[in-house]
Amino acid sequence: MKLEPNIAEADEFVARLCDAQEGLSLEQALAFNSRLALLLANQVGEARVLFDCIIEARKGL
Amino acid sequence: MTALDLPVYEFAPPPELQAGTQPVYPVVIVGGGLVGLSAACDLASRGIRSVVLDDDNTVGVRGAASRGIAYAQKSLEIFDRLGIYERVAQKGVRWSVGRTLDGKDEIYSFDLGRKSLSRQPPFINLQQYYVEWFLVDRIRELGLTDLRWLNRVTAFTQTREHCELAVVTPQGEYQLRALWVIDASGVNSVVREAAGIAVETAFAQDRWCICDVRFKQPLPLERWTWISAPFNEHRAVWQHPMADDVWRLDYQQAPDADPQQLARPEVAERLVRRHLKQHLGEVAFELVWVGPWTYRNQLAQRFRQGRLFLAGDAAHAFSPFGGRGGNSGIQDAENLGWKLAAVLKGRAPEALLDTYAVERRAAAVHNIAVTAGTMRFLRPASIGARAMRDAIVSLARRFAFGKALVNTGRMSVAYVYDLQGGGQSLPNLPLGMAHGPGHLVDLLRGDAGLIALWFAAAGDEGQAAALGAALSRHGTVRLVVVGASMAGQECVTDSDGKLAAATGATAGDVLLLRPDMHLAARGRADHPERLAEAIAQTLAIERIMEGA
Repeated sequence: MKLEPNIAEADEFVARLCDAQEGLSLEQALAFNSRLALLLANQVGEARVLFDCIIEARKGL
Repeated sequence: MTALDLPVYEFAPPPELQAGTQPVYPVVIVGGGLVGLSAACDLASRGIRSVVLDDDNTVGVRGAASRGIAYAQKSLEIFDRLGIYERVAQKGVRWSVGRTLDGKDEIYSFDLGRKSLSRQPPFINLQQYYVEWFLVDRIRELGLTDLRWLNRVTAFTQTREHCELAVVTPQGEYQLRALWVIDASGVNSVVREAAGIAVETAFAQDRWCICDVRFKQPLPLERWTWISAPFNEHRAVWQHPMADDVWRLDYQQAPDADPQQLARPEVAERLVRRHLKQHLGEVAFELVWVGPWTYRNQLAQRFRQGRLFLAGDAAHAFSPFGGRGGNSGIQDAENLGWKLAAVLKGRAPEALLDTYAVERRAAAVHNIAVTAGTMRFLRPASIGARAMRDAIVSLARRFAFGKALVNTGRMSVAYVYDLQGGGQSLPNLPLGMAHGPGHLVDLLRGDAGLIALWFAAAGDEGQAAALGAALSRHGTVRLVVVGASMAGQECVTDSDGKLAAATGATAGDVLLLRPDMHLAARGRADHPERLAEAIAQTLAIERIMEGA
């Protein structure tokens, strides 16, 4: 799992990530983020990295 | 509902009821269901006598439930070896296509037939009592098994030397002694409890109702699964063909649905009418059997305790997705059959029997994990899991990677054991034999021991003597030459290269095949010593330290 900056055009990515959720209800936002997680996971592919990301994302919740 | 026309087996007073001698039987099997009968038939095919004790006098569960329906390729291959495959194939319904629907749309389909190398199809659906019936007929034909109907086991004890069972019959009680006992008496086993073997049980909050229904109008002979069916209040539905124009329709219910209410025929009829109306319009149908059920996972702590083995539901139970219950039980019976025969005939030490427990418990743990995944998909347990499930369904409509994440049951396949040779079960692929075209199973009929498949080339004859000597170091391992014709050796041909493709074997390789078709070891003909070691390991024979 990479934890150093690795996203090209990071600010633009975050902007699009937030803009895409404009006007969505809580339920729709949940659907959007679930789809996005699956699409991104398929780009990553590597099981170990994906499992580590799940553990990291859950921390503090 | 119609009564099924099942055979009734007469009670015959066992010799133990008349006072006198008390023999110690080599094997007693508790439970004459799918797994117990498979074990008895496997043992009989190896020349081993056994006594089967069943508390009923017919096949199926008191003539009511059809229970298991989907027999996977591995089970069908075992049936071929046991001699009941032709009847199963004739009576049952072949299928290989499965479809998953969301509402009215198909989102995913598979065809298991495309990659199959086996003589047997990926699946045959058949009511379980037919399979049991065919097994009983075959067991009687083999003539080595004492099938005792209406014999109920009430107690079990064991010493170092033997086991003792208390049995109740309509004409009185008796004690029965056996060297080995196979407990195949189901989830609520009395024997397992008497032996003090703990079980872990987990229930999940989900309810279903199975309706086995007979109607004449044809639907496609495929497995259909709705994740969300408009005709079942947007809950999941299963649709599976069986023999005799009977279909298994399985309806997911509200988590708090009352099972008593669901079991009422008029409630079941309403479910079925709404379902069939969608596909066929108003059709006449007949309810054959209705059974509400709920998820249950169960795993025994040990599958072997001294002289006792647990097999089938007595050892493990999981939800029916993928048909893993009955199919894994049949594999339990096969795994134990050749090992018990080898020990009883003095070809292997008792330590070999520990490998039954290790291998089949690992398979059960795997099956529980796999079926739990399906359960999670069909009944997500949290808001987030539900959203993730819906996201998968939505992506599956558009993309291949999404389809791969849809989990409406991962179909039962043979478990891959942790063995040096890979541990996978080879498919029953075609081979050319001395008498003409045959299949791998034909090498394993009767009491086959280990087989060494030697991928020899012309001119390799010189290696045969050293190889033969290594193969007989620990009893006799049958040498079968693949591809070359060699005087004085059993030879087969792999003319379409399926055996080589399935195993990745190349010239000079020797594959050690177990009687259950699992690949135990891989070696080379020019290293016969290593093969001898692999044979010892496969049979749990302790090796004597060289030069010690």
